[in-house]
Amino acid sequence: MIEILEPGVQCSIQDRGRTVKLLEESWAPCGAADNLAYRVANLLVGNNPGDHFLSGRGVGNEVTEDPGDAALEVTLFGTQLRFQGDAVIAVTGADLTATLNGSEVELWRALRVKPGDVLQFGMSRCGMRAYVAIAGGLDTPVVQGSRSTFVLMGIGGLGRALQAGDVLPTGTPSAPLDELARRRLKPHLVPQISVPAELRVVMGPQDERFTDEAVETFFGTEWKVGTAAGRSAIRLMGPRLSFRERPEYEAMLGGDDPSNIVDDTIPIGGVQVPGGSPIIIHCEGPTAGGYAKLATIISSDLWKAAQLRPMDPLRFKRVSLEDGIAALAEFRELTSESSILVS
Amino acid sequence: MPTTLQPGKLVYERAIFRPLGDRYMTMEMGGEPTVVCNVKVVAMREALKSTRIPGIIGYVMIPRGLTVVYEPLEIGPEKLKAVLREVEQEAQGVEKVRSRFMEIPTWYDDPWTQECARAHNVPHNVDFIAEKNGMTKQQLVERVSNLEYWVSAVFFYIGAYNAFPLDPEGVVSAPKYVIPRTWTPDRTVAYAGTFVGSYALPGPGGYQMLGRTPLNLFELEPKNAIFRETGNSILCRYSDRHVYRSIDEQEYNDIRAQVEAGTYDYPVRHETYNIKRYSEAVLRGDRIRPQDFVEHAW
Repeated sequence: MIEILEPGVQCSIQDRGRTVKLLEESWAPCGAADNLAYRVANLLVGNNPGDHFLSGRGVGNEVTEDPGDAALEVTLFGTQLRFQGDAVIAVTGADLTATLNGSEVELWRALRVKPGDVLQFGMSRCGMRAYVAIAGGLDTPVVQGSRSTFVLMGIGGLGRALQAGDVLPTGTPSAPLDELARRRLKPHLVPQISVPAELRVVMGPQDERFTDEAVETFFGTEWKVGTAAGRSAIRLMGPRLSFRERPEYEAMLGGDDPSNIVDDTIPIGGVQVPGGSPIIIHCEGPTAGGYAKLATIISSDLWKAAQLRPMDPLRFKRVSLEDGIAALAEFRELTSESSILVS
Repeated sequence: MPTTLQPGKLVYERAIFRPLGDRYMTMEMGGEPTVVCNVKVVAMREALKSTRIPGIIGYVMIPRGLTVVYEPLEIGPEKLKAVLREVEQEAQGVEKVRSRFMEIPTWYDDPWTQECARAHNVPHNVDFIAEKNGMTKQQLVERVSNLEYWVSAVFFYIGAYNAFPLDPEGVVSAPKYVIPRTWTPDRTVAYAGTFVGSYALPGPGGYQMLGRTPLNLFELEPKNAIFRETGNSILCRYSDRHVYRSIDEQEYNDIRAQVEAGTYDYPVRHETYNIKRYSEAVLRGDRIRPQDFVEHAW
């Protein structure tokens, strides 16, 4: 069991997210915003990381998806947890100066904890979100096939972000704790949260709506994250991007602003540009909306966007769709059992 | 003034593809979303139900297109496009689709949406739309509540959707908010462009609010029979047809009490709709009576 002593900025229960099928009922997938750190945290403690984000196995209506074991997503600072039993945990993702009973915790490796041990998160050295996985996973209610919390809508998990006093039951570890405690991520594979972040994007789906100058500015600018860097949207600050003339029906049906389009699908990682200012849509975002999207972050870089803090700088790098897919293959290799070292 | 839509306008001969990163691919069936454009989307979605394409794992529908979520390591984007082109051919043969006819009782210009408009410093949305269309409030309510609407797609946040009038004549139009609202009451029936859209849950939004329905559009734990029967948490589906019947405060309260008790019998007729005949009639410029294309119950 884990007791929440202080939730900090935001602490929520997340797994790999809801089934892709629910997109058609306009459910956001939710799940861990940094799917890389979430997967590795689970692998480190011998848990099931589930299928990859927005992925399943099988064909047609028989596609099945495994949501994986639930972990905690800790945001920015101030979260304090107490363990009520012997356990193995792993902390991954952002470096939020995590301490266990006051001693700094090594990230990206399994750790033994004893009853009464307190895990505390301080200020961020780098990154926005850390993940705490516990061997056996969090045994909290499943809503629509997943334990993840849709924080914005107050659905799933405990129906909200966690609060002080919440006590979370845990499942049964997959192996003896001493064995699990020997696991670590191969040191050369530890993900680096770079500053400025470099997010690789594929052009589209509405890049034709932007002027050449806007496209040049988009890739030439070091953007800054605004104060709103939530699980649904990350607003960026920088120059305004300009739009081309649009057909009359877009104005009538889409809206008065030149950035408006007739409602269109928003992918997770879509960069929409309402009023000329980019917003990255993340795992709790709407499935569609009425603003032109210049580019889409490749799925293997979504974790980098999840690690952006307010005021952090970032750049976009244009890649081809083929390169984006090649990067996905690498990402999947990195987030598999083969990356774990047992000492 | 109310406008007449040009239904065949900007429906593409063949869909265009728009990649959205490495996991999504949109097939856009037309520029302007009309029912004629949307029935191609619906036909495509129906055709995909009977095909088994490894690597396609999910869908997002929008009024003018269909997005597939795919596994690019299983089916590459070029192969995916080729396969979707084949299905597009098959989709041309889809004539009829299941269509539920539903009444969505609506208290127009209700106190909650009025309060929401005041809180956002904008005029009563119903007055605003009426003025934009050169109508009185009563005429607007009459116009909107007498038309039959076609649910083109479910999108945005949980359970929200768009529905177009099936009769392209005398359609009311309204701009979206310039600055979107930060909140909207749940069960708000709203309007933007030339379509109705409803908010199943409280949330942000930019459509002009027409009123509020006592019906739940979302039930996570199914309470009313319709949610148990379908097994879905949301009420509306693409190719449903709606009428937004105008109700008063008393009827609103009566229905609401039944919905809350879980005993409300949602007024639904299970029918088949001939989308092919409908499209042809609209494109010929026939006078459209939506019920003429209902074929039978299922």
